[in-house]
Amino acid sequence: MKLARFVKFREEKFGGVLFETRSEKVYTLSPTAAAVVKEISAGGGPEQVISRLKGRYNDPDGKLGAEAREFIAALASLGLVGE
Amino acid sequence: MELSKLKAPLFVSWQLTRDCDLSCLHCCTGSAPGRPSPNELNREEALRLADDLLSTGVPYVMLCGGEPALSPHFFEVAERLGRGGVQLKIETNGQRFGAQEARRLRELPIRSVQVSLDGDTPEAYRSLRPNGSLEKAWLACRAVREAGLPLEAAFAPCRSNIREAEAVICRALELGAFRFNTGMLMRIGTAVKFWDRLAPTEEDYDRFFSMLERKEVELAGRIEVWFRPHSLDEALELQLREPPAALLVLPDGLVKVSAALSFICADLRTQSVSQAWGRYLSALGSLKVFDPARFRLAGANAEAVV
Repeated sequence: MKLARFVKFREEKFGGVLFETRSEKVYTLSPTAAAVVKEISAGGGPEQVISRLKGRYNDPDGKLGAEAREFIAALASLGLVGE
Repeated sequence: MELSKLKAPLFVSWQLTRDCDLSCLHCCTGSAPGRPSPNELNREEALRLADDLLSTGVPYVMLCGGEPALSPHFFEVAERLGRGGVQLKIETNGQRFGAQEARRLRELPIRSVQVSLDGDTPEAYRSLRPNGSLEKAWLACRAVREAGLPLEAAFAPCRSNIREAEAVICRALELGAFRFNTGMLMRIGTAVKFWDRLAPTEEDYDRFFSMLERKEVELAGRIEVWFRPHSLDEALELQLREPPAALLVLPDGLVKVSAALSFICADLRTQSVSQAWGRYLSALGSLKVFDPARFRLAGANAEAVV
């Protein structure tokens, strides 16, 4: 899984932005969402991305993993990530 | 999105040169052969700016002109930006853009190459681009697609070509374009001088926009038909409501706040991209105090407001 061909990510103080240059749509990201996108940019499948996130942040109740999975699915449905 | 929270622009439109190999009557930048702007950025300055755009994290840059391919450092700038990960859009008239140029760009993250197709017959095309070749523009489109690059077509409606717009959309589709870009003719640049000769009538525009609405639906999923905002006035109003995270860089490094206004907010020859971004944000603050209706002027005169 990686960011789609025309999608660029930039970190910002408030989190980050995803910019789909083909449609010129901009998506603002919270710090958590930006952390997920950073891991997606580093490569690997959804479970690898989630595993790395869990290794980096505390996730005692599994909430982070569930939210990240949901967010990755949302990115896929918008065509912002692909294989 | 609150622009002031962004550390840098998300998009930069960079007019590499005003020089052009065509003398188009409707040119919005006043370009013509042998007419570069005085004091255009030289190679070292342009590459320094490219490095600055990279270091500030600008993700998307459009290289345009004049004819950008006429700039002696066009490929160097494109390669510097592209190899640094910046997505690129190239706007060209296609007169000197062939397989070799397309192959060279293929190695870069090209978002699109946009070729102007202002007519579907050589007569209509040459009525606006007197020394231009429509055949060469088509060849450029084919070279773009054969290199696997995304293609866009642009069409400026004038009295002499507006009735060919539908044929140009079909041609753009056949040539493999993913998008057809148009809107009302802009009364800026060379077009001001020839306005009475160029401007389509209201009836022409009514038919034109009806056709575009029909084609947008008919061709959905095959080619995108983009024609909103319709006019420079509408674009300016939209910009005031929802300012873009964009800088417009002129060949001499000056930065414009808007394509429709000649108001300059920064100079990239002496200021960094970050500084220019700060100046742009301040300038937007000033623009907002104006009633957009006051901008409802012929584009060339709009500078008087600021």
